[in-house]
Amino acid sequence: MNFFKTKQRTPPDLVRGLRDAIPRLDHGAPGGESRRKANEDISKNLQQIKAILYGDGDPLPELVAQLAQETYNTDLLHHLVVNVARFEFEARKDVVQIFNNLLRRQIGTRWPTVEYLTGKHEVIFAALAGYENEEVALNTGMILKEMLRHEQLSKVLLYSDQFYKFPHYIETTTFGISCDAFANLKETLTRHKPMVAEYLDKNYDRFFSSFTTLILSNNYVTKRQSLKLLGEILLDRANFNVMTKYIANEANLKMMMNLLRDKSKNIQFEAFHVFKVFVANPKKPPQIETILRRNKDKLLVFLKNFHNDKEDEQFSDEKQFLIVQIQGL
Amino acid sequence: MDAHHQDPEEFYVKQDRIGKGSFGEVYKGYDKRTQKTVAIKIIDLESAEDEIEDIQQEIQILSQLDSPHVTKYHGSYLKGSNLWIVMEYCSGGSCSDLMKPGVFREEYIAIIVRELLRGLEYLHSEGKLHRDIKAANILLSAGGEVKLADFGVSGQLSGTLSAKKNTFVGTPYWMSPEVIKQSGYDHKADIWSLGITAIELAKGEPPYAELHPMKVLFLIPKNPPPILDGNFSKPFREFVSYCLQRDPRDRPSARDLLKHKFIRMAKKTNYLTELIERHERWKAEGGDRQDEEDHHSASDLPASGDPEDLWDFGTVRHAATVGRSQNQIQVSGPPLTWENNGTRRSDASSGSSGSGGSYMSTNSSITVKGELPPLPGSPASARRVDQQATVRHMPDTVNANSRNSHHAVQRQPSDEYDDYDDQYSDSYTTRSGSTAQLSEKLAQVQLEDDLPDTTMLDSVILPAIASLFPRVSSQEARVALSALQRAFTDAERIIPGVTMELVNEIVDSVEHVEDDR
Repeated sequence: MNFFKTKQRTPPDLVRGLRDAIPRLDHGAPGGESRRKANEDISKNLQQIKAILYGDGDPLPELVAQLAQETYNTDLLHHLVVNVARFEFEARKDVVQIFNNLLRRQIGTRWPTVEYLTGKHEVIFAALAGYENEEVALNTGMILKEMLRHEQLSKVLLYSDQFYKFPHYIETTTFGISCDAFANLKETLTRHKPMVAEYLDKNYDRFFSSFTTLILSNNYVTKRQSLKLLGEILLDRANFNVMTKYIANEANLKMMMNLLRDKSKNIQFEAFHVFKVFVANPKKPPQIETILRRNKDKLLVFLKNFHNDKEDEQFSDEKQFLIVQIQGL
Repeated sequence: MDAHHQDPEEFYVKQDRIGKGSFGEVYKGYDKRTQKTVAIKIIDLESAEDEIEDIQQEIQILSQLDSPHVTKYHGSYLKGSNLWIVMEYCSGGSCSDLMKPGVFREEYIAIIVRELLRGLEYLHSEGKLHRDIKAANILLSAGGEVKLADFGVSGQLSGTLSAKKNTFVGTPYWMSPEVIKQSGYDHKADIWSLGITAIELAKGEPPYAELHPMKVLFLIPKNPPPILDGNFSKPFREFVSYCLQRDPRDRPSARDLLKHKFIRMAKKTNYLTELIERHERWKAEGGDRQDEEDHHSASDLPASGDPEDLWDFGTVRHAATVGRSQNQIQVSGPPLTWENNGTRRSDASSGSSGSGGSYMSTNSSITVKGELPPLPGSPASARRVDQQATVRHMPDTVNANSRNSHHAVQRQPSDEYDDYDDQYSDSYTTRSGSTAQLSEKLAQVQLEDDLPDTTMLDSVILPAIASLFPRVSSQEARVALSALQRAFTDAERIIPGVTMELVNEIVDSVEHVEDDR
């Protein structure tokens, strides 16, 4: 698209042009000419910044470096995330591409944008707060996801109070957004395992009381997804201490036994994968063993009829293993 | 919580059912707030065989597309376990519907193809492929605007949404040679499919439509590209030949094709309303009564229980999805971590003592039969069995290996599958990978059929048998399957090439069954 190429503006020009256009979104009357012009400038600057970052498959490192430095100097990333909802449709996508491209930028073993963001927690929280606006939630969700790949940034979120907003976002948004929020919650809880294990161990009560609300959600998808995630968390070796704590708690066992009888087969099945951990525990605490023993006959009948249509050897083996365990109580 | 914030019926009214696909049903409806007509796809997630994450991924991609040449995504909502995906409604219907009164004249095709090219130009500039261009996925609005549907992802989207059953996503007729061979492909694969679609619009069917899809998987990579023959203008025939070049690099981009003479001559889109009117007249004259029946038999064919279903090329690639969701993520995922740990719970420490409480009384109904989960045997679960039959199961096995090496050892005689999976597991095109690998193997067999070749044995028969292992429950049955594998291996050793001959016989006999009907 050569005819779009007017005189080449330098990266600092572009960043400052963009940065200056954002406040102009408030100038004049809503829907007025000056706002329209501001939006136009924003879109244009974003396009040109994107062009520098992506080049034609061959970006010039020097320009990219200047550009990145200027975005840090002007706190551009924060302004972009906070204001993205006011941009035009394509401009929002450009914001995501620019943000994520900068975030992936590496010089040797350094990640300059990650380092920059480590000192700018508000950017992470702004991306999370994007779930409050369904117009842009999936755009900010992509930015958040890219940040969560980096342990330092993921840790900031995990250790924050804002982290506990996830259940709210998951429960109050429409399907696509809710799933995106869930995916990012999962990312936070599964990507950097030792870091997460330490957190869960230290914050066990707060975390699980919040997480249990998701498992008990009335929303079919939330319930099914969170049960599945619970299974993954408990069965991860890194979370051994957390698992041990979890499977010693009789309320948890009761919840799983009830979920085994949920009306949804998928939920039953996910519950099975948590329930089995209680049963497989060779050193069951007495309160757990008591419940299992009291329900021994019922459980045996139940398990023998449980998902017999599944053609899965491993599942059948596990079920058989549980039956043997329960018989031996 | 605020669950009713998400209730689709707050915003949309569902009206007549306008379609039924493998993924669920499509309804016409309208937005209460704007009175605008919409199309609503409803998928029951409880019976869908896909991971919710996959569906979410697709919605993510759909939500980022905004073009007049692409059906617009409006939102998705959950009601119970039903997912409502609300999309733009195109009242003109699909090109395959509009073709029922007869094929299109060249002048209409030029308009449609131009609009498709604009849609593809947009998509490709967004770094996305459609991967399922064909008349059935081209919709017309009331005003004749042409929209690409099922889009984007279509590999992904229709993959997911139709994994449940074989809408024939990826039936091979529209696939380019490189897609079938999986030699790596890009946006030029859409250009090929566009060329095939142009032929379809002109002649009513894509090339090889009369052949069994399995055969077509061999023929497309092997034969010279189809040409548009018959009484068509030179520019049209030339346009098609540009799209259908074997080497993707030789095919022009969508943007370049927009400059082709055939396209530049095309009239305005509102001219296409004549096709809609023609279809209306034809329906008014009772054309669709006949059609209803045709349609039934036509759509039943891939839909259930026949040879189509047995082989199901359209969905071979789904098998990866299907297999994954049924056998791997849900089942193998968590337990694997656990078994691989080697801890086997043995070092779990014991807690303090306590009493069991009143669990028993609150759950006294646990043994009541009526409360137990329903037994299998619903049509949905029966279908799953079908879907995993024969060839389709392979990709499942393939995928299994990377996640589950100990499992793989016991049921996988052919190590090469590990490599396949590694190659494709991260790529956007993963799902079609396995199919395509298979067909590539098959195609090679055809090409080199002078040489004794054990490819058919190694890459088709043994893995197919291996895929049966997880589905039998007794040790005796597993022994029998092993014996079957050995028998094939022995036969191949003594009669080189016999496996391939056998498979060819089976393919032929499948075709004959179809012919006989």
